[in-house]
Amino acid sequence: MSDGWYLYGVTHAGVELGDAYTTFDGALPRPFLVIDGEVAAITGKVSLEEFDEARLPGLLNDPGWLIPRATAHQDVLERALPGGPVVPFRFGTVYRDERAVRTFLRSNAHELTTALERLSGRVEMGVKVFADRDVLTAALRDTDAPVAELETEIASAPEGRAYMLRRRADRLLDEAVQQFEQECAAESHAAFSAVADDVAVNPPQPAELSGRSEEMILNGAYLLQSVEAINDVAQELAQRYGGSGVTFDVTGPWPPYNFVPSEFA
Amino acid sequence: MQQQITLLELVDRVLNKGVSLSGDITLSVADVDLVYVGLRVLLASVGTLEELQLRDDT
Repeated sequence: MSDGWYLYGVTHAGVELGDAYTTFDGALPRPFLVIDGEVAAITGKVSLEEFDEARLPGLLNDPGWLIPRATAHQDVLERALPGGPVVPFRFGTVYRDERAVRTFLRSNAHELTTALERLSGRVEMGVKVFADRDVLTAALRDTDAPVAELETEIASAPEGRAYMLRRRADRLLDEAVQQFEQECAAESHAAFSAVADDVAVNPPQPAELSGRSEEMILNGAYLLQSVEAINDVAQELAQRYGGSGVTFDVTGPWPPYNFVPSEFA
Repeated sequence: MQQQITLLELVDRVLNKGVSLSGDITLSVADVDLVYVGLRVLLASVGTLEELQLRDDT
């Protein structure tokens, strides 16, 4: 069975990688560069028997196979980052031979060079914002004016009326929680965007994927020059929203997975 | 806990973002439908992840 050419990403032809790749040890093959003109493909040779279209869906659903390989993919790209900008490829892109890799580089040289210039000196940071509904609900019960008014009325109302008012108060509180989450997400995104050169908003992950009991209210990616700037914004927002049960998870720097040219996305 | 989130974050990016091509390639994850749905269910199994991390650590 012949080999395929696994593509990790694309970088500048003149990139200095030192021993970043010779010391790589992971579940995917050791990377090397295929240079064509001004751009270079970061590739590795994989067995086409393993990376077979018919087998792939099964393998992708096997965490024992997938997770070490996805980690290796990320590791290779991370090792390339100190050398200069990288256009990351999605996991599992395999070309039939070196000629096909070169054809891709040559026919997309302009787009790739432009993308590398845009990414130069910039990193992707991820921000996930979580709201703890219990804490937020308790906080709004005390601070939301219409709800607080109803609570006062309920305290002195006869039983039947109190029951009706209670239902109304609960509904108002639910609405206040949702509105707070929407506003918090929008304001947070605006604050992060203000220090970023480009932004991408992804759908919030459901709790089963995030593994957290809190509600994810923002799943953003930001392309920027300063990691400190985004950390500062996160800290400011955490202080402002901390009492309402909102937390900010900043990750990165990542290879700019969310900022590849739109024609390749 | 933090480690798991990082792992999920990684899979979320590596599998769902980045350059995705069709054409002169023999294989692309983008061509495989509903991968993510299956993956989501698997990743929800915290036990599996912990087991894998242990294996990685040893």
